[in-house]
Amino acid sequence: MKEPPRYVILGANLAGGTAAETLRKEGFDGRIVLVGAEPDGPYERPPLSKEYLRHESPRDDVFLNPLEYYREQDIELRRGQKAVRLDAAGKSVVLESGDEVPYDRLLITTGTTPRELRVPGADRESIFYLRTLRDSDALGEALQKRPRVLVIGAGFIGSEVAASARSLGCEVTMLEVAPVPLVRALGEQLGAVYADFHREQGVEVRTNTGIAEFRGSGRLEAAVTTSGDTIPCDVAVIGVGVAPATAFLEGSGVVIENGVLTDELCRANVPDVFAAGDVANWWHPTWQERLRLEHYDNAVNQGTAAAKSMLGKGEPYAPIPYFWSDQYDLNLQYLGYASRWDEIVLRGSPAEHSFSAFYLLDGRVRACLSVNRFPDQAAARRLISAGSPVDGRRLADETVEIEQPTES
Amino acid sequence: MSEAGEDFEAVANEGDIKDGGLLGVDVGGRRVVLAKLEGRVYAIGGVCTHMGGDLAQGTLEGGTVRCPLHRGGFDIKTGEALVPPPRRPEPVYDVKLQGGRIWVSRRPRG
Repeated sequence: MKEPPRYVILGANLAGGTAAETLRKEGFDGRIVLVGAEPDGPYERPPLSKEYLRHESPRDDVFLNPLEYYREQDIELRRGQKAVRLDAAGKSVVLESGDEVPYDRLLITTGTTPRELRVPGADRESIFYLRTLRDSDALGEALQKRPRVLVIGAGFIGSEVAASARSLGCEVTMLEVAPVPLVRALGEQLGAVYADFHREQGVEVRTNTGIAEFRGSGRLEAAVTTSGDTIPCDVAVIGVGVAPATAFLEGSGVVIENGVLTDELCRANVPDVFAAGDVANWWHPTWQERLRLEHYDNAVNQGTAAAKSMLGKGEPYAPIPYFWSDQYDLNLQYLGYASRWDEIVLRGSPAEHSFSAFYLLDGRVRACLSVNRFPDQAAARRLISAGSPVDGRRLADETVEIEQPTES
Repeated sequence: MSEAGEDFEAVANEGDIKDGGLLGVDVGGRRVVLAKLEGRVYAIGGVCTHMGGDLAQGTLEGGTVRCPLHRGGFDIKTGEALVPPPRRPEPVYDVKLQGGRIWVSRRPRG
């Protein structure tokens, strides 16, 4: 009798867990092996820097499904097992334990790992990174004592941790080597708005500066910045970016270039190997450019798309990217993708915590950031999809409705 | 006492909600969102099961209500959580149209 097909997913996280769910929902009745490096089953990361970190939501809420689900669905969940090598010719994955896991089709959803900050004293206690559920457990515990917190890196993780720590009543200093927070995602103008938001809440924001050294006898007592300032602190949180988790693919023949290179059907260059989520650098067929996104929405949607593609039911993956970030009472939503722009049109008032910023390139909306202003997002979705020229002055004028896209 | 029965409460006029629109109402102290699709009115729990977003401030896309906070989606007919982040369903309420008014069951179905 012929063996049932065996699909292996590396990365028991949002993208991988969603892909496994999708395979079953789509009627796949072969074997599914879901391998994760972490001790926990697939969970969602957004709460780890927000409500879960602040001890406002229970642990059970972070998981995609209870563990029974995987047994019921006959998904072989193998936790705490890291892949160390891919044998693409022999179609098997070698795990840290030495176990070999053969596959007929393989989906890589290994995500990213935090970049380490290598400065003197970086091995002191009370210096945290935040990527995993266990990281959040440890940091959340430390924040309960209301320590003085130093956040290094004002990207989304750093900014959200700063907001959470401040909301808990901690004294917070946030450092950023760039001139403003969130500069990579939002640009200088909107990054400056976010710097103001944090300062309003009492966070000390210091920009254009990094960390030179951590000090303290045993435990952390202070950090010295590259500008030469000493900042007393009890806890430091490092959020200086992440890198695609692709070390195990070295020598496998899978092309790595800022993640696993895939086509619009989530396929890598090697037969029967697919990738999705934070680790995938894919070709966006309508925008005709490569994207690698580190966002919740992409993990869900690309995990779903890759699973369908594995089943031979794939469709070109061409989403309008979307992400959110909640800091204090500010609900940020960002739709689209703009790595460059000619102009940013503001609608509404940052000072009143209700505005949208439209990122225009060649007179067309490429992206829209909204803070506490969801209705603008629906309008922006139409404008981004249509890709038709817009009138920036009208977009900025709150007394008139946002125009509908013109027929092209 | 009501025309539609003890178990129903009049919450709005039929004209208060347009096709493709949403309307937030309170029924028996609970927040409920009404959605009108192809002339029919549906009612499900109005507070997102993810982070408590007010679904009435969201949008109706096909038969899916999208939350204004993180775009989570619920089926307006079954309450099923169709689009994450929410994973728990919304309760579903029965709806009757009578005398130009929209009546919603005081308790959710099931």
